[in-house]
Amino acid sequence: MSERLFQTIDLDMRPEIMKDNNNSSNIFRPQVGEIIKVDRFTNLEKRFTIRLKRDSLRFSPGQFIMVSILGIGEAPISLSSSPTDKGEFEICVRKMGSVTSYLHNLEVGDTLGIRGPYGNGFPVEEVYGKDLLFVAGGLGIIPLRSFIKYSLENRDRFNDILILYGAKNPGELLFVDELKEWGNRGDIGLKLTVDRPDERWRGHIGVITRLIYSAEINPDNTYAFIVGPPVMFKYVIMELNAEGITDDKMYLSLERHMKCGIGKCGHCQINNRYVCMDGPVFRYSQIKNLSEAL
Amino acid sequence: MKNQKTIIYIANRDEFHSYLLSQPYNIYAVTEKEGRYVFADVNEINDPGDKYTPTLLPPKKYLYPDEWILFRFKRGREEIFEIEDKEKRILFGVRPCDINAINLMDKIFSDGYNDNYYAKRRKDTILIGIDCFSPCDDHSFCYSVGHLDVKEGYDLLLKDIGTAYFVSIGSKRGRRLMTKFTKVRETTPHDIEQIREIEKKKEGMFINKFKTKVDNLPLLFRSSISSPIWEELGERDLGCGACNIDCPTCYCFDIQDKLELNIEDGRRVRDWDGCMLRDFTLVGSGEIFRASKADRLRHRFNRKFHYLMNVYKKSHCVGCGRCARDCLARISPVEVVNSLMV
Ligand SMILES: Cc1cc2nc3c(=O)[nH]c(=O)nc-3n(C[C@H](O)[C@H](O)[C@H](O)COP(=O)(O)OP(=O)(O)OC[C@H]3O[C@@H](n4cnc5c(N)ncnc54)[C@H](O)[C@@H]3O)c2cc1C
Ligand code: SF4
Ligand code: SF4
Ligand code: FES
Repeated sequence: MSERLFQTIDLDMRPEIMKDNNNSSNIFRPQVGEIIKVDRFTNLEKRFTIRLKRDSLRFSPGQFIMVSILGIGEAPISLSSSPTDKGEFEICVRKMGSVTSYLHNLEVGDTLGIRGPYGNGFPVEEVYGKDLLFVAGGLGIIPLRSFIKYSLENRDRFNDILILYGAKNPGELLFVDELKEWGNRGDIGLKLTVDRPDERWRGHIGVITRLIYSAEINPDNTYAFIVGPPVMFKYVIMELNAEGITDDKMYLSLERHMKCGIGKCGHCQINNRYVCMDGPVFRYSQIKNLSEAL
Repeated sequence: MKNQKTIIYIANRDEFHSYLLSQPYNIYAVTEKEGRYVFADVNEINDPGDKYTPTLLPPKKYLYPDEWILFRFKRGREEIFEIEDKEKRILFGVRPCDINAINLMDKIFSDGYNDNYYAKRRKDTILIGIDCFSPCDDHSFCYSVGHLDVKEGYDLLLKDIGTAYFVSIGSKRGRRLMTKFTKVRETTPHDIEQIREIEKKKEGMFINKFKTKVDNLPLLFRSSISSPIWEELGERDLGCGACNIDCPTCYCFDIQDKLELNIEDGRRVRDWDGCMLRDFTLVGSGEIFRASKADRLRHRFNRKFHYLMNVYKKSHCVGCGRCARDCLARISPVEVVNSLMV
């Protein structure tokens, strides 16, 4: 009779969080990484090649890590090297604020903290056999490069590959040596454009959408991967739509304020999506109707 | 079957309090402070019973403290010192709304990456709840959002009948705590009658303050993304973020490094943060993704009644009324829901 007043509960039905958590690892503890190479690209951007002291980092293109400097803080940074490089990985960092400026002062042999990899990454296997169209604006080349390198190493797994890359001026182009190499390959297309050319510039001039307009694209077999500043997305999407590429064949990588990278801190939310967990890569048709996405 | 048993005891209030105080736990209970209530470290238990109104800060401050140290470090060398949190505590007098809020937090922090920091504190905290028989005040609406009934999460749940408690047990450690307490007796038919009377009185005391059923809220909020209500509320909002701090289900945080005065030692801390604050979505390029107060209010309420509710099938506002009680602009979830209904 008392059963109805005091409901019966199974005493073993403890909240999940209270079970088996003795051996769960510390979610905020960074691993130690050592800088084994530094390349200065521009006044603002440097590339760092890093090796973890204990492990090697397994990741897929499009994922990111939290870089930690004890005493300064953490910043989300994309992985930029090919996932097949074993033992070491590369990041490319623009000097923006406290963490990134401190990073710029580090040299070969210095250590830093790494958490991750986090995020979903690009759907690499889903686009085997397809035409790949990479559209990079400014720093957007950094995460795309990981996928580009992978696709060049595994060239026979993909059909046509076209890389479009735009920057404000020629001096801001990153990975210049590699761009030359890619341009000479013959088995892929590469088109560069800048807003403000210098006297030696022989590439295109103007916004990146013009490159799309002049490219030969087979809309039925093409998947587009777009990364760039917020203003770029809308125009690129419009142009690609005009070329006949549908919303479900466009992938964007989005940037938001991030503090945890693991879906807890709430900072990166776009409506109901977490950029750190559900993204940073989103299929455009997935986020098209989210009021806070673009 | 052994574990599946409803166990009820009657315990004399004062004797039970003394027993708890003699246990090897730090006890945090409801106490009065300048005319309001707070959870605080206590030497004696003086629960206000049916005079209770929700505490200034919810008990989340013990499970998920502000300025929570994640680890200490020495600058320059990648040396990290994890902190061992040894405190075992009892939270006494947690009301149904707040127990349900803790249940929601349990899910949030264990989903995906299991938050070992939260899990540890949760595991080291015994929750002793006290049931409510009448609405605590005009701001509360726990019943409207389905959070007056508490089904799990507590170790013991008490029904206060003046000089004694009916004690129901919600976990093994709750049972252990009660078996060591010898001064209980089993319930008699008379006790059951008495508790039935109280439960009967409770019916009708609580009403649905929303003009719709709670289950309809995700749809309501989804279809109200471009409602003019958000602009109107945004005009009134002061952007102080007090509602985020007060709320038992708000858990967003910032992570910061802080240095000691010798500037060699430091600590990485997790601070409470709030989606109502302007810089919450600021990125390096200077862009703020929810730049207006209207955007931020819409986000906060969508989290409570839409985004998280769709995932966990429960309202992520438990109706404690804290945000409304202390809002200088008098913005309340009840008003928000009902104005979206017209
Ligand atoms: C998924 C992702 C991948 C990224 N990849 C790269 C990359 O490969 N290379 C690169 O150079 N940059 C990248 N960024 C941007 C980089 O994270 C920010 O520039 C960096 O966090 C700024 O940190 P800071 O400490 O140097 O600046 P701060 O001193 O912290 O602040 C400078 C400005 O940056 C804003 N900011 C602070 N924290 C963040 C944050 N967590 N996210 C965004 N903005 C923030 C501040 O609000 C402030 O306006 C990425 C960002 C994201 C979200
Ligand atoms: S809001 Fe409801 S459950 Fe919470 S204290 Fe008030 S009456 Fe009790
Ligand atoms: S939104 Fe307000 S009423 Fe709802 S749980 Fe949070 S503080 Fe309580
Ligand atoms: S970065 Fe914390 S929730 Fe996504």
